[in-house]
Amino acid sequence: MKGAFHDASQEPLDVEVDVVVIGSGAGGGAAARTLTDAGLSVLVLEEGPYIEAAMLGFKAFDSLNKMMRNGGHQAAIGKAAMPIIQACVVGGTTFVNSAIIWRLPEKVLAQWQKEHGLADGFRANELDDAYAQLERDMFVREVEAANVNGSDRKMALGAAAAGIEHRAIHRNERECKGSGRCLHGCHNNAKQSTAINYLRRAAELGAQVFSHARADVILRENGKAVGVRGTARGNGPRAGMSFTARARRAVIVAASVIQSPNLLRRNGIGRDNDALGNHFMAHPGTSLVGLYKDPVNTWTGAAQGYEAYGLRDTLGIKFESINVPPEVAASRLPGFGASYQKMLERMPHMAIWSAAIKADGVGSVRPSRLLGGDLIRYNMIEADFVRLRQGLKRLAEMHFLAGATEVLPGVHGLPDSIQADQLSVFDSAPLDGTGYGIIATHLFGTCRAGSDTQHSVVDGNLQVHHTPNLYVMDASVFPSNTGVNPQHSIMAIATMAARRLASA
Amino acid sequence: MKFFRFEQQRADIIGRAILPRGTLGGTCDSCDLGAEMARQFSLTPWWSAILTRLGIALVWYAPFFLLGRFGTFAKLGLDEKHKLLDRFARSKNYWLREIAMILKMNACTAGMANAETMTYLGAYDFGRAPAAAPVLLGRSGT
Repeated sequence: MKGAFHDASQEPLDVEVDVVVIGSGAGGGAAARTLTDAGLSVLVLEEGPYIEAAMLGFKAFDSLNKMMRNGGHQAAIGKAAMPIIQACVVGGTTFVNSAIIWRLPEKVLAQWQKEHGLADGFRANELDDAYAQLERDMFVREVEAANVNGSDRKMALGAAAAGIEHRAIHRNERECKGSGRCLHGCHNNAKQSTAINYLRRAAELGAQVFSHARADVILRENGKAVGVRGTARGNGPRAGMSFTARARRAVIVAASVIQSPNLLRRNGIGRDNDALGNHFMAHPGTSLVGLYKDPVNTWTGAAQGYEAYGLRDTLGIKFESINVPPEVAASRLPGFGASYQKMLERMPHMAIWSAAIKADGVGSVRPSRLLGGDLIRYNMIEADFVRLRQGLKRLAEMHFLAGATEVLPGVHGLPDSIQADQLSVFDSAPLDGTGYGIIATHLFGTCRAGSDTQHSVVDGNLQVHHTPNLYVMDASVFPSNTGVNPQHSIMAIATMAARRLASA
Repeated sequence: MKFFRFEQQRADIIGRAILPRGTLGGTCDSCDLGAEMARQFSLTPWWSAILTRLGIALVWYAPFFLLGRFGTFAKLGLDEKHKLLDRFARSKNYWLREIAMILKMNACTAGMANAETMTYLGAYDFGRAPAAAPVLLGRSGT
């Protein structure tokens, strides 16, 4: 046992509890904490390892390899290969993200309620109550002035001058030391990932949290979910051995937008449902580099400290400052030879800002024996690229208004570097994914909630249609993408559903 | 998958063309690029590793196919190596551009991920810059 957590490759795991939760990220962590608070016995199964702060480094390749699914080499396949970053550790992606907190926009909730029959399922007052509790428990606040770096300050200047609403990012952290290493996992234990906060609290109240515990089979009797059979992973003496966990009240699948539908499909659940594994949506994003006369020290302070969100409702685009690890950022800089070496020397003067789009493109997820377990098909549509290039033009404009001397578009077919009077080059940027370096981080929709049992996978209580006692509580139940960072909404919706389950 | 010995040697030569000695104040010089790229390759899933393997082979023999010259990448001068890599990076073919980017990323993640380079760049808590003058940030404003 490491701290409050157990390792399935070291300890036996054959138990009977009230609720088995598969996945320890935002959804699983919130559900486990809520159910434990309500007095239920809970077992959390996490496929990945538990990683202590002392084990965290700063090298991008090793961080990805240690903490991400398929070593960070997961990608959606379409016209272009689009990397999809998903953590596989205790805490899930909450362990490696930038802890950005947004409530679900009212418009999105209203759309879900109206178009998916969720007026009774996703009630605003219940969600507001869950949000309020989460914000208290996870110490949500805006980035402190001491942790704001030069890139953040430039974004504040540029957004203000461009007339785009903006703010310091609100994060769930406590006593952040501003080491700039959020994306490698917080080595100060300041970021309130579920591994630090919700799961630890649940474990203190009696929940059992097992790392290296992969769920393979959802056990059912008379159509009801009654437990999970799985396999221990890792390097301990029990690695490769199977385990069985019985669930008296419920099995909750919170394994992510990619793994949740595939786990259901592998178990023959919902195969005749036309929503399972479909309607995959995302917030694909790319970045622009602005070069400034003075150093901006991008790699200090908060990994992401500032955001400009004023184009969310018009273009469906949100801008954020981000400190992509230096060695990864270097690989996206143009050229080779002397010009490239000069560019590398200027890295401390570079502010990297991302643009993430609420894309209308839709894809699918299926199990695959070849590609690390999952086949993801996804393409943005042409309208998404039209909005993306408009957004990049505004982002470049913000850079120049903030004082950038040049901007590096990083788009195939455009100049390597542009000046303030060349913003129109974005009007001819490509209309397909092969011209951009795009990454998808926020994922949605593959087990979407709804009242129509044929066109949705779970109901408003997040229970799988026609399968009593089986629930899905992660972003796969979101009927669409949200336009904002989803962790907070995943936790709020899981909290809401877990409260109902506990009181049922 | 693991590199063959010749692949590690080729990776080292291609990597050093991307990050020549002296880059970033010489902070990347002490890295054995071939060995580190081989370590990373051994930890990479097959579908990604195969692109690296293919990329090394294509770049290695590119002088023959692209320049019509006998000899391999190793026989080119440094400027010619850079021009050749640039042709990959600017190709109309998406996969050739991806190969150039993957090789660049392999070289950078291998060569730059060390405390000396991070200190040189002032990154993370290795080289924290002096605090800038406090600036009041707008709260949800335009």
